[in-house]
Amino acid sequence: MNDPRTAEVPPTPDTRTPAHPSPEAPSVETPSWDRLVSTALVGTSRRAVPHLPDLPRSRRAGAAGLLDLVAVDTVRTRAGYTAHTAEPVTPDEPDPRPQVGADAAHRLDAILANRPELLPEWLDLAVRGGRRVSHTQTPDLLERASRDSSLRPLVATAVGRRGTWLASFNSAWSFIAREPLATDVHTDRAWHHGTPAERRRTLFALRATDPAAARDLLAAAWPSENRGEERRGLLEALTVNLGPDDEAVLDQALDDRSANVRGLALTLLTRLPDSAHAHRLRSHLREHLDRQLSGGRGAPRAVDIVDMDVTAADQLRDLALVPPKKWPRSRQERWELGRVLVTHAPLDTWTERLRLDPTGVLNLAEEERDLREALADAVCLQADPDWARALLDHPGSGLAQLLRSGAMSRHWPRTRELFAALPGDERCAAVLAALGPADDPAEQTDLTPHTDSGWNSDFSGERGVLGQVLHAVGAPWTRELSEEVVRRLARPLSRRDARGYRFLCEAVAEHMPPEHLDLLPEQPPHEEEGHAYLHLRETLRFRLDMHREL
Amino acid sequence: MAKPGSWPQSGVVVADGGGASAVWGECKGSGAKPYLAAAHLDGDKGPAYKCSCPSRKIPCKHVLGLLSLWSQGTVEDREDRPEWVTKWLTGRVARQERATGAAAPAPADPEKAAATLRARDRAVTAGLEELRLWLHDQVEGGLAEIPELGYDHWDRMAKRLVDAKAGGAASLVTQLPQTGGRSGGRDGGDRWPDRLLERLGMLHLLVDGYLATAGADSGADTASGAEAVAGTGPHSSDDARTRTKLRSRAVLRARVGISTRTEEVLATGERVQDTWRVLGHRDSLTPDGMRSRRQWLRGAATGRYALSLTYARPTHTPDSPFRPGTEAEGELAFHPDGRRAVRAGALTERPASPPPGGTVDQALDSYAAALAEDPWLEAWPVVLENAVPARGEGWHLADPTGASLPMDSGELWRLLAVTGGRPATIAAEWSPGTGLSPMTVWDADGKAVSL
Repeated sequence: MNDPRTAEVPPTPDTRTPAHPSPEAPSVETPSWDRLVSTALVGTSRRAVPHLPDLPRSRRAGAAGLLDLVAVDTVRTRAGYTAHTAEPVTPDEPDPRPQVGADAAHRLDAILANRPELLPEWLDLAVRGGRRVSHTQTPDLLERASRDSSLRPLVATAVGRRGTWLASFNSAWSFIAREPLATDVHTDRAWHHGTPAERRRTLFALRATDPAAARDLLAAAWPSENRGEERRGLLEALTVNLGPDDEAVLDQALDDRSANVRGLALTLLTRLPDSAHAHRLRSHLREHLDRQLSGGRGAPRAVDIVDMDVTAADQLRDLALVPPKKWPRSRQERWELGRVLVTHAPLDTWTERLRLDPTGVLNLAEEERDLREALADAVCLQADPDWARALLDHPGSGLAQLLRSGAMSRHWPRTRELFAALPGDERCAAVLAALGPADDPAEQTDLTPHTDSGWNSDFSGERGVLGQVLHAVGAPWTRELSEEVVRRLARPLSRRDARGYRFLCEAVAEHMPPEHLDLLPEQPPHEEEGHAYLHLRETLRFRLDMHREL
Repeated sequence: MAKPGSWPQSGVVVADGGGASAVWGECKGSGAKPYLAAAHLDGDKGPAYKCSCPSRKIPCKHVLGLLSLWSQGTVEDREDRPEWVTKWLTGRVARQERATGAAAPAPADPEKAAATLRARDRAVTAGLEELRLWLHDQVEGGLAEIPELGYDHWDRMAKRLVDAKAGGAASLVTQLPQTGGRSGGRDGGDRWPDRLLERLGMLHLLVDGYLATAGADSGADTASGAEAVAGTGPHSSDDARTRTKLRSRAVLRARVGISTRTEEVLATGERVQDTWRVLGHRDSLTPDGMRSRRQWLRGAATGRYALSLTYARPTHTPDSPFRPGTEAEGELAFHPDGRRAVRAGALTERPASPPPGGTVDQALDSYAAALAEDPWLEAWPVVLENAVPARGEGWHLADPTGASLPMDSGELWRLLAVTGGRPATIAAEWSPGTGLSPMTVWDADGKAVSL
C-alpha cells in the first residue's frame, strides 16, 4: 500500500489530492495517472483515450486528447502538493564561548581554501583564546578532521557543542563525539547509560579531576567491556595524569585478548620507570647483557643483541606479544622480538650495566645499525632527555652530521619525537649548535665531495635538511634561531640547491614566529628564487595578522 | 614612463562631487606621435583604461606610468582636455547609461526592427508546428519502444527548434529522455514512462498554448493553453482578465525561448517601485553548459517576487546583481512575464533584517498560485518563518504548526550548523520534484548566511 497512486482522490479536478509525494516518489500521483501512462505506452493509434472520472472529458481525440489530460493531471498534482509531517530535531546545548571575530573567520576561510598547512596554528590560537569557530565553518572543519585524524582534538574543541551536535547526524563525523573536551563534566548517568563515546568522554573528564576515581571506575567495569575497540578507548583515559598507581590496571590489560589494547597498555607502562613491569624488563635485558659480557671476551667492543632470548612466556607477556607459532629460527625473526625488548626496557639498564654514559652506549652500538635504531626508538618512546641529547649531539652521527650530509637519512630517528623530550629553548639551541658558526667556510666545501659521490633522490642540500629539522622543532623559535636561519637563507645559492632552498622557505614560512618578520629583508636574497622568498614573507605577514586577530 | 618629463601633456578630470573622474596624458614615445593614455576611474563597472599604443596588455605600461604619477600627486587637475579624452569619456558614460536604462535609445529603424520580429515569430511558429506533429507521433506510436532509441531521436528535434529560434522548447526536448533530474529521484530509472509522459504533456501544453495565442490579438479568446488548464477561474474585471492574458502570452513566449532584450525591458517594461529584499540565490547549469544564477527578491510593500537571472561561462561564477542579506530600495523593470526583472536606475542598498516569512501551507499556496501563471515553473521561492530541521523520510523543514516539506540534502550540513536545530527564517526554492533547496538562513543574530 505504499504506492501513493492508490490514495483517494475527490472527484472534482480542481481539488487538491491528498497524496504525499516526496522527492523519492513520483510527482504525478492520481488514480487516473496509471491509465494515462498505459495508454501512452501502447500508443493512441492502438488504444483510445480513456474517459476518467476525475478529469475533464477531453475535447480532442488521439494523441492531442491524451496529452491534454496528461498536462491537466500533472499540473494539478504539482499545484495540489500537500505538507508532510516530520519530527523536529532536538536543538543543541548553547555554547557559552564567544565566536571568533569576523576578521579571524575570514582568515579561516582563506586558510581552508589556500593554506591548509596553517590550519592547526589557527585552531590552536582560537582554542587558546577560549573562542569557538563560526557555525558556518563547522561542517568544513569536520570534513577536514574526518580526513586527517591529527586535527581531531583541535577541531573538536574549536567546533564545540554545535559541532558535536551536528556530527551526531552524520556517521562520517562520529569520531568527534569521542574526543574529550576540557569543558566536559563527569556524570554517573553518562558512565552507566551513555553511548560508548559518551562513556569515554565522561571517563576522561573524571580522570582530569579525580584520577584515582576514574581508575577505579575503569577497573570495575573492565571485565564486562566486551569490545576491544571500546576497551582501548577507555584505557586511553589513563594517559591523562598517568601515575604509579595505574600500574595494576595497565598490567592487567597486558593480558587482554586485543593486540591494540595490549599495545596501548605497554606504551603507558613504558612511561612508568619505577613500576614492577619496568623492573621486570630491566632484569630481562640485564640477563641478556650479562650473557654477552660474561662471554670471557673481556670488555665488549660491540653489543651483539641478535641472540636475545625473549621467547620465554613471561617475557613475551611483559612485551605484549603472543608466543610465536614456531620457534624463531632466522636471525631476523629473533631480532624482531629482541627489538621490542630494547625499545621498552628502561634505558638506564644500559648505562648501569655497561657503566657508560648514553654516548658511550651509542658508541658501542655504532656498528650495529639495528641496535642503534632500536635504541633511538627507545629514546623517542621513553622521552628521555639525556639520551635525546646524546643522540642529537653525537659526534659521529648527530644532528650536525645530518645537516652536513645534505640528505635526510632513513636511519635518522624521528626528529620530532626526539625534540619532544627536550624543553623548547633547548631544541632551538640544539639546532643552532648543529648548524655551527655561521661563516664557517669548511662547511660549504664539505658539501661538494659528498654531492659528487652520493647524489640521491633524498638530497636536498643542507638547507633542505634544515627545513625538515625545523618542521620538527614543535616549539616557538628563539630569536637567535630565527636570525641564524635568515642568515642561511641569504647564503650563496647554487643551482642544485634550489629545491632545498624552497623547502627551507616553506619551513620558515610555517614555523618562524611571525613577530620575527622584521629579520627578513624585503628584497629576495636570490633573484632566481625570488618567488619562494616573497611567498615566505607573505605567509609570515599573513600569520602575523592571524595572531593579532585571535 | 613614470617620470613627469615623459608626459608633456596630462591632466585630471575632476568628478562632479570632487575627486578624480579620469586621468589622461600624452606620452612621448620613440615615434613621432605621442601615445594617448587615459584611465576612467569612476565608471560603474570599475576603472577602465585606454591607450593608443599597440600593446595588448590592459592597462598597458603607459597607463600604469600615468597612474603612478597621478598617485604621487604630479598630475594637475585641469578644466580643459583634448578632444580624444572628451570623446572617449562621453562614449563610456553614454554606454553606461544605456546599460542602466537611464537613456534607452530608440531603435534605429522601427520598421526594420518590426520586420525582424515578425520573421522571428514566423520561424518559431513553424518550428513549434513541427514539434506538435512530432509530439503526436510519439504518443500515437506508443512510448514502449522509446528506451531503444538513441539520443539522435531527441537531438534532431531539438536542433530543428534551435534553428527555429525556439531555444526554450529545444532544451525541454533535450530534457525529455533524462530519467533523473527534476522529478526523477532514486527510482527515476524504473519510472521512466511516468517522467517522460509528464514532460511530453507539459511540452504539449506549451506548444498548444503558444500556437493558440500566436497571432491572436490580446483581446481574442483563447480556449486552450496555460490559462484553461491551470484553472485561473473567472475574473472580476476585464482589466484583470486582459492583464492575465498578456501575462500568459508573455510566459508562453519566454518559455518557448523568445527572450526580451534588456534595453526593451528598461524602455517599456513594467516598473515597480518597492524595497526589494534579497531572498537568496541558486546556481544551475543550462542545457548548453552555461552557468546560470537565479536571484530571488521580494518587494516589502507589494509582496511581489522578482527573479534576476545572470549567466556566465562554465569556468566563471555568474554575477550577483544583488547582495545577500540586503534590501534595495528603488525601481525594478519587469520582463513581460512579470517575473524576471532588472535594475532600473539607481537603487539604495542597505543591510536588511530577516524577511517576513510564513508557514508551509502558505508557501504551498503561493507556489500553486505561481503555477497557475506559469505551469512550467521549475522552482519557486518560499520563506519559512521559525522553521526547524526535522527528520521524516529523509530531512525536512518543519514549521511551528508541525507541517513539513522534504529538503534536498545539498546544503544540509551548513543549514544545520547555522541553526543548531533552533527555529530560524529560511528562504528556499521549492519544487515538488526535488523538494526544498535552501538558499539563505538567517542566524540567531539575524545575519543572512548564504547556503
